[in-house]
Amino acid sequence: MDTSFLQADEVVVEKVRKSLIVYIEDVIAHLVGCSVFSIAAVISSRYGDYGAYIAMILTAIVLLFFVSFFYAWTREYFDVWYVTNKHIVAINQKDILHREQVSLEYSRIQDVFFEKNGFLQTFFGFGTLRIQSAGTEQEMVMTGVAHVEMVAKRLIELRDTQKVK
Amino acid sequence: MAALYIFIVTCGIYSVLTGILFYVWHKFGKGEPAVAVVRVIYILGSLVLLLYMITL
Repeated sequence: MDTSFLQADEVVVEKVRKSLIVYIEDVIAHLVGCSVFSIAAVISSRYGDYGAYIAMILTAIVLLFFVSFFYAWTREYFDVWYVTNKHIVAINQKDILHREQVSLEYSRIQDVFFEKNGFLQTFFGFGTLRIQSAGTEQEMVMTGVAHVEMVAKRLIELRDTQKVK
Repeated sequence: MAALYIFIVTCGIYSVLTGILFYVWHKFGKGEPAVAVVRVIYILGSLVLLLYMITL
C-alpha cells in the first residue's frame, strides 16, 4: 500500500473498496470475449496453414482480452478511499495512468449519502457513496462500494466524533 | 514466416501493455497481497496463451 499521503501521526482506520460483484461483472464480460475468440481459434487451427495463421491472430486477440481484464481490475482495485483518523483520502483511479487524489477533513463533511439502484445492488448491498463537502461545491463519489450502507453510517459516526473533539 | 511476424508483433504489443501494468502495480500496489496474487495469475495466464500461439 502506498502511504505517502499520510501525515506523521495519521493512521488508516478503514479502507473503502469496491464490491466483489464489480470484479465478477468484469470477469464475465472478459470471459465472454475470451471464450468466443478461443473457440474460433481452435476451430480455425484445423484448416491448414492459413487456418493456423488466423488461429494465431485470434489467440492474440484472446491475449488482448486477457490483458484488458487486468487493466479493468487495476482500475477497480486502485479506486480506494482511505479513512484515517484525520481525513478521508479518496484515490480515484480513472484510468491506468490517470489517478486523482482528494483529501477531505471531517470538519468539512456536510453530508454523506448512498444509493443502491437495482436488484443486484439491493441484494448484495453495494452501491454509490457520495460525500458532500462544506464550503466548496465539491462532491466525492465512489461507485460499487461494498457494504455501502454500513460505510456511510461509519463515516457519519467518524465525522460526528471528530466534530465533538 | 508469417507466423513469426504475427508472434513478434503480438509479443511487442503485449510487452508494452505489460510494462505499463507492472509499473502501476509496483508503484501503487507495493506490499499488497492481492496484487501479488494477481501478478502470478497474469504471468501464468499470458504465458499459456503465448505458448499456445507457438504450437499453432
